[in-house]
Amino acid sequence: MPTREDADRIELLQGTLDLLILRTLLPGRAHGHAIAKNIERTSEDVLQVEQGSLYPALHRLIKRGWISAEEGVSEHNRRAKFYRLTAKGRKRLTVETSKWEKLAGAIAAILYAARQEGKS
Amino acid sequence: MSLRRRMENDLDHDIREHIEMEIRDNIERGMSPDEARRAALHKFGNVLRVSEETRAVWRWMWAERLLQDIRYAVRGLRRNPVFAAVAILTLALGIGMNTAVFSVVSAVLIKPLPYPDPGRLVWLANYNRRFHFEASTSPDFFDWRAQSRSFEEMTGYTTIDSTVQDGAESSKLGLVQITAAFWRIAGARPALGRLFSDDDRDVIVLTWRMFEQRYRADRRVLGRVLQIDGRPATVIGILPKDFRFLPPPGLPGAMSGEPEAFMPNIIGPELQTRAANLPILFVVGKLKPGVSIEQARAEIQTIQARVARDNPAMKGFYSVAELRVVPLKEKLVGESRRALLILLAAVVFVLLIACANLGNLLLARAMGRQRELAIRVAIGAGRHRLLRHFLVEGLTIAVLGGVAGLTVARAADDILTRVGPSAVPRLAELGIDWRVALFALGVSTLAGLVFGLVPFLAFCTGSLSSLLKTGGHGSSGGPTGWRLRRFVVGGELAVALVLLIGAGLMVKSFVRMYAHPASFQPERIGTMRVFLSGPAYRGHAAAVAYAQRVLARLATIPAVQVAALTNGSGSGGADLDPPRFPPGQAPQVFFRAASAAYPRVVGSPLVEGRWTTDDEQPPAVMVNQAFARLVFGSESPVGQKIHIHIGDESAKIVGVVGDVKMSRLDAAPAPEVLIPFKDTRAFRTWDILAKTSASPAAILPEVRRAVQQIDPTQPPYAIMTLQAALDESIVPRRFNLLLLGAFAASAVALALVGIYGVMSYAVTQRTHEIGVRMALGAGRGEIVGMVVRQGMFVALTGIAAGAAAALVLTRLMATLLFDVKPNDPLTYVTVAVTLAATALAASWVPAFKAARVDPLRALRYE
Repeated sequence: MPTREDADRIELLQGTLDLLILRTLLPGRAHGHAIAKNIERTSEDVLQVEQGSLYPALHRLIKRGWISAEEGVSEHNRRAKFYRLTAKGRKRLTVETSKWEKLAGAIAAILYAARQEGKS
Repeated sequence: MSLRRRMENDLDHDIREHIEMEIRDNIERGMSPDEARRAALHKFGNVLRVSEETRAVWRWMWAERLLQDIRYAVRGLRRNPVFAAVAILTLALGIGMNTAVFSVVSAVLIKPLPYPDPGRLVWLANYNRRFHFEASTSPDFFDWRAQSRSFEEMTGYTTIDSTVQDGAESSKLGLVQITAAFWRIAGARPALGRLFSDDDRDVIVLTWRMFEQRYRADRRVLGRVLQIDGRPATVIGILPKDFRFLPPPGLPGAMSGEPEAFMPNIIGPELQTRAANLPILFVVGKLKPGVSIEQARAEIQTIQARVARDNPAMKGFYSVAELRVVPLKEKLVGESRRALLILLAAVVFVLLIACANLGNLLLARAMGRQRELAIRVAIGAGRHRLLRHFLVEGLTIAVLGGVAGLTVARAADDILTRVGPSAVPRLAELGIDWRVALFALGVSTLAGLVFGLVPFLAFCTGSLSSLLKTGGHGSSGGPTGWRLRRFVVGGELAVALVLLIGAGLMVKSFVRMYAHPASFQPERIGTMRVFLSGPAYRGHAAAVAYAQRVLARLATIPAVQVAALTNGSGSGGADLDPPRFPPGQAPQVFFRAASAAYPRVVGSPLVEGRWTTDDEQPPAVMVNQAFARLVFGSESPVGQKIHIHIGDESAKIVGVVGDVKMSRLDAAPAPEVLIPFKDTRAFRTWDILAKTSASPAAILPEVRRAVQQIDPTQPPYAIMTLQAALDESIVPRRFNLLLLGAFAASAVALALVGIYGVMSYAVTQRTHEIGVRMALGAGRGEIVGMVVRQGMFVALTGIAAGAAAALVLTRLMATLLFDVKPNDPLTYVTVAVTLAATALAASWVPAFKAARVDPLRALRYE
């Protein structure tokens, strides 16, 4: 039974993680581990996600039809599942990105204003 | 494999692979293998929880998709309310009729009898091959009970319409005289007072209905002394309201209604010996646990064989007797089984036709949406997705129809219980219980699947690309769709024809049953019965005197043309004088005591010889033609002497009268000797017959008053017209005919709607082609001919197939027919021609419409 704090954290992560997954898949298909690695690396290890939480998110995205899964062979020559952005997902990414930018901008504006006030 | 299943199966593999990759990365970074694994697991988090959460993503997906499909189907129905109404109503009727018939089948055939251990209850009787009745005799019962070891209990009973006198009031009472073992067999407990034991004498137990109606549920009736047929009996107990007397009520002529009271059946020594006559008794036994009915039958068979061997004088009786030891339920409902199953099959046929029609309707709709559907398939909807779509659409309609159908079934059950309470045994137990509800659900589901599948099949067998190209225009839905629809309609007509022939054969049976000689006019004869009860009527002289008073009194009523009294309950061996048959092997015939006017009342013509009078000296009798055929063959009976029950004296046969069906319409008249009523032995029941030129209903009250005045303590009962009495003898057949007729009519109506629909659709689809033909000079007549030919080809093929199927299937209903062969050519031809003619009319209308097409507009039609 997750505590309430747990639940809050997962929810917070959820939307963000979805966006990050979609963005990671924009250049092409990738398997789960590669997606996790990519997110960590490009965020310069700031975002340390619990890698396991990636999977519920991936499946949620498949269910919504934003990404699709296909069989493939990994760089180590082993069977692995690769995920790919669908047309619907691509559209979604645009929407989500602009939403996120607006949100980030708005929060930044507030935080910036607060700092200004704090200075004066 | 479904997407969801694939995802879930692969998940564990994916997670393992993910962790392996992480370990490899960690090792590359320089960790020790152990360290690398620990770090990887730590980074991944709780594996179990992750896989659980991932699976949870998919959990409700099927439900969501189903909901989506249902919403889509409902939206489709709302957009097309006429289609929806037609579809749901058709189904509601189809499923309703099916559910109603099944509820009858369930109540009669499936539900166990409401007694403890119903599976162990057994009916024991000797079937009389000559007179076709089943009964036992007191001495047989006595021997079976004393000598058999298979039975835990065995009870013997008789039923009678007796007279109860309570103070000054006297009325008829349905009385069962039964041994006390019955209470243990039925698991009966008294609601008030107590039930009798075998040692009780002169006591009576009343049913709740009697207690409530006649004594207004006043418990002070306990201890009251009633006069039952002139003998006192003390009321000692009342049976509970839900108690039901299940054993068969006995032979016709015994108790005429429901039992109202029970008295102990005393089998004294005089009833245990086989003297001149064998007193009738009915027997029900309860098997010991673990004893099979075959064992019990074999045991009773042995006892019975010994009895027959030891009583050569009774050979006439035992040689035509066939031992029956059958489950009580089988005895009660066995005869209705075949009829009910046939009705159930018939009503399923009706539903099949209804489903086929709906399938065609859905198909037509699907054809109109071909392009949309083709596109959906092209962009990856997948055939299974399409199948789901059609099935869900079908099931949605079916479930809505099923719910409405339950209401229809309830109404139909009401009608059925009112139409024929006596038509089918146990019909009173009819109701919608879980079995019936389950059946309705099953039938609806099946129906939904059937007519969901039809359009899918039509759609899927056609090639996709051709659909996309033609786009659902100009063509008649592709050759496959058209072929399938014609096939379906042909099948509908075939099924309808089978039902119609079944109904036709039954109608013809009815015509045969009612085929009387013109002189027999049961609709103009009023009847009533008097049971002469009490010590005053013990002797035969009293009964004769009573009869003479009745005849004299009835002669004074102007509206009564002619009246007669008769008693027809006796049967036995009739040997000639000098004897013609070995002892005990004389033919079994009916003996009817009657006043001289009897043959004239029933319209039995004199075939040979002369009429008898009420005072024949020396004794003289008449016989009917059935008797003459059985005993004398082509020889003339007139002048022969016959032994009847007048001591050793024999009577001369002076006349032969024509056969009439006096008791049952669906049986050939039995061989009968008509004896002037003064010369017969003692008996206590008189049937009074009065013929009138007007309606008997008008004179019955007056006749009743007149009879009652002769002796107010002897109330007449069973007052009705002879026609009504005869009608009652075939109530089960009437019930079957009513239902089968209704089903056949529905089937034909549905099939005609089907052929009309398909032909109309075909004409619409071919408008362009028809336009071209007309532009090239085809006349209206030719166009009509073309369309009608096409329709009739389908119809006649269906009718031919149906006739072939009927030849096989109607053999199953041979027992439901009377005097008609299942392959009666006249019925087949009449029915087939009628159906073909109506089919012609049904395809004529669309053909006529086609002929009125304006060629210019038709050519532009695209």
